[in-house]
Amino acid sequence: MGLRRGWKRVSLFRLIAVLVVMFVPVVLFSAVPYSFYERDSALLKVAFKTSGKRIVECDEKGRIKEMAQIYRKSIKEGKGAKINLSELAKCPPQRHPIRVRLEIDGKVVIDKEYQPGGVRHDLSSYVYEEIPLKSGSYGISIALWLKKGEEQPAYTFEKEVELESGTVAVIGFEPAEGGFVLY
Amino acid sequence: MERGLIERLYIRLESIVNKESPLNPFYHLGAIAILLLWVILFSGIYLFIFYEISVSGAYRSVEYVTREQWWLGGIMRSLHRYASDGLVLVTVLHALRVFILKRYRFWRAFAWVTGVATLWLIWISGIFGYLMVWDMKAQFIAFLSARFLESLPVLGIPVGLNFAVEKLLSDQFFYIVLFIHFSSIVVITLLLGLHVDRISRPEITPPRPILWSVLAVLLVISIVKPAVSDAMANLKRLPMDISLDVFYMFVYPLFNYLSEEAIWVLLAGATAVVVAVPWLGSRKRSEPAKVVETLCVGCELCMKDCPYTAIQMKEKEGLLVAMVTDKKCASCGICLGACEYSAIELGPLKEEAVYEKIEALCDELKEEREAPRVFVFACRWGVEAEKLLKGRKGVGLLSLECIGMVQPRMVDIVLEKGMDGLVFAGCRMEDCAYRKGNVYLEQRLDGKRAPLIKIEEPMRERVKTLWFSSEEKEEFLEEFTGFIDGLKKGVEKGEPV
Repeated sequence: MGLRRGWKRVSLFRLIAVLVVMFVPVVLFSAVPYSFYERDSALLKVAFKTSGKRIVECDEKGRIKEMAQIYRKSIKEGKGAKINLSELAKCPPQRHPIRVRLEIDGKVVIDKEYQPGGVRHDLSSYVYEEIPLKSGSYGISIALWLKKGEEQPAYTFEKEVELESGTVAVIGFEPAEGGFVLY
Repeated sequence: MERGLIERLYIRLESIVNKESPLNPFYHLGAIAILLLWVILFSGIYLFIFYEISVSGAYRSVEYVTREQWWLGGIMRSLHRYASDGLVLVTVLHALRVFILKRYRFWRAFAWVTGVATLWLIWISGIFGYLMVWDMKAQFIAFLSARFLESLPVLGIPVGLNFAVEKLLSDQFFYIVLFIHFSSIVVITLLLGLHVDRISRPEITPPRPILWSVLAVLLVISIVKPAVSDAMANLKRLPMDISLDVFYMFVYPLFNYLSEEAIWVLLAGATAVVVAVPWLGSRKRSEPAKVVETLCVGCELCMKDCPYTAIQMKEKEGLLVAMVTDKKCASCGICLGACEYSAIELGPLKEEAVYEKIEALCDELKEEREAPRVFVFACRWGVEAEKLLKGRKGVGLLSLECIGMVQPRMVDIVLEKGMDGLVFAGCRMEDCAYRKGNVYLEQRLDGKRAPLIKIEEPMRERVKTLWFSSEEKEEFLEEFTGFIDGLKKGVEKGEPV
């Protein structure tokens, strides 16, 4: 009755030929030579994290010690011991945003505030900026403020850098090493 | 069935393949995609055995597998790469096919949406796979992806900081990448489960010849053009010269022309439009099948045959009764073909009226003496038999939504009326518009599926099934004419019918 049973009459060679045609794009487009950046491109990054100063400067550790002493004394004297938590609240954890100002060859490229992280704004501020440049020599000047409204920056750094084609230069911040570093 | 120009051109393209190969891979794209996922899984597990999850070890270990162990590890890596690329290609082709053939609306909308989600996940998984190699290409992806993610205001910490200097990049990054890459296959599997949830007996493995041919083609590509890494990532250098995998990295060149925000809008907008496709245009659809509960005997045949899992059995007064979920019903009528008890109604179509129509058509042919009298059951989606056979002497034709709708009783009427021949014409065997109509009909004719269509000899020799697409008119007419000529000789010889 002439029922078709295609797979019994399959011509494997033809089927493979069809599949080869189907998979041609895989061969062609799996690894296409590509350059996203122009030949004379270089990149300057400003990348670091650091904490701004506390909005309310206070000796939190000292206060805790002081309160612990009061607590111990109360216990010794047989009085009811209570910790006054509101005393600690006088040391709010919030920090100032930090400010970064970057100049390249005297031109201001970045002058921006970076907010502290965390729900209570008590964590570090993260700085990450990319400045695409052409290869060449540049005078870089960067300044960091840790407290809002302060006139003088807490850290500054100046350097003449030579950026070759394809170079990625990174300005980081290492307080232990004295401030800004250029990687 | 009126089809648009693009649809016709596409079907024509597929018919070219039909001429070349008895099995058409375009009819099995979904199953091929699943096969490729298996290849990705197995080759990925092999590669993982040698993978070092660290900044310094990632590239080294991949290079070891590629260079030192090229004879197996290298081939595995290439299979992993090319199967992944093939997966995107085949999935996109699958989606395009579904779109062009308008097989995405109503009862298919759920599969369409889960398909879009799966494609997204495949893409994301592939991107993370490339990060694992930690070559210049990975660095390029890391640089631009970081920019892309940072442009969203929801991330508090700049991602790019991790890739600024090497000392900030920790091994933990590779653990996260590996976890996402691995876990995505689990989510893809779950999504595929949902993708085929509303179809019964989904095809998850392609026919053997296609399966082995795909594997052979992948293997040959892997040997001829092994997948290799770019230079090792170096955060002090820009990833200037890389090899771009267009299937996964197509979005990155856009960063040279559009802002990150614009790319987000573009991707989100395009996805929203694609997801919304099933709900665009007319919402008019055929009436769903209805079960006449008083006639239903609870045989479950309709439930087993429904290609879209729209029929379930429920207990009513101690008896099983079929129940149709309207939203899932395609109104194909396959359940009607499975029911011998007139328990299913399909909108205005009444069984008795169909029987009467068949009788009337056969009666019209009674006086025919010049040509053999042939009755044709034709579906309206495959070859346009109604149009092609219009006005032909000796031919009576009943056009149905799906050939799977043909009941044994309908065939019995034709036989009782003493026709010289019987033809079933419908979609290509592997490409029924309602998935299984022609397959079920053949199984009924072969005595392999209830309810059986019993045709005794010598009439059995005078039955022809013709499965052609709407663009295979010549092939259909050639076979049909050949069949008629054969019948004619038999009739002239006075062979009994």
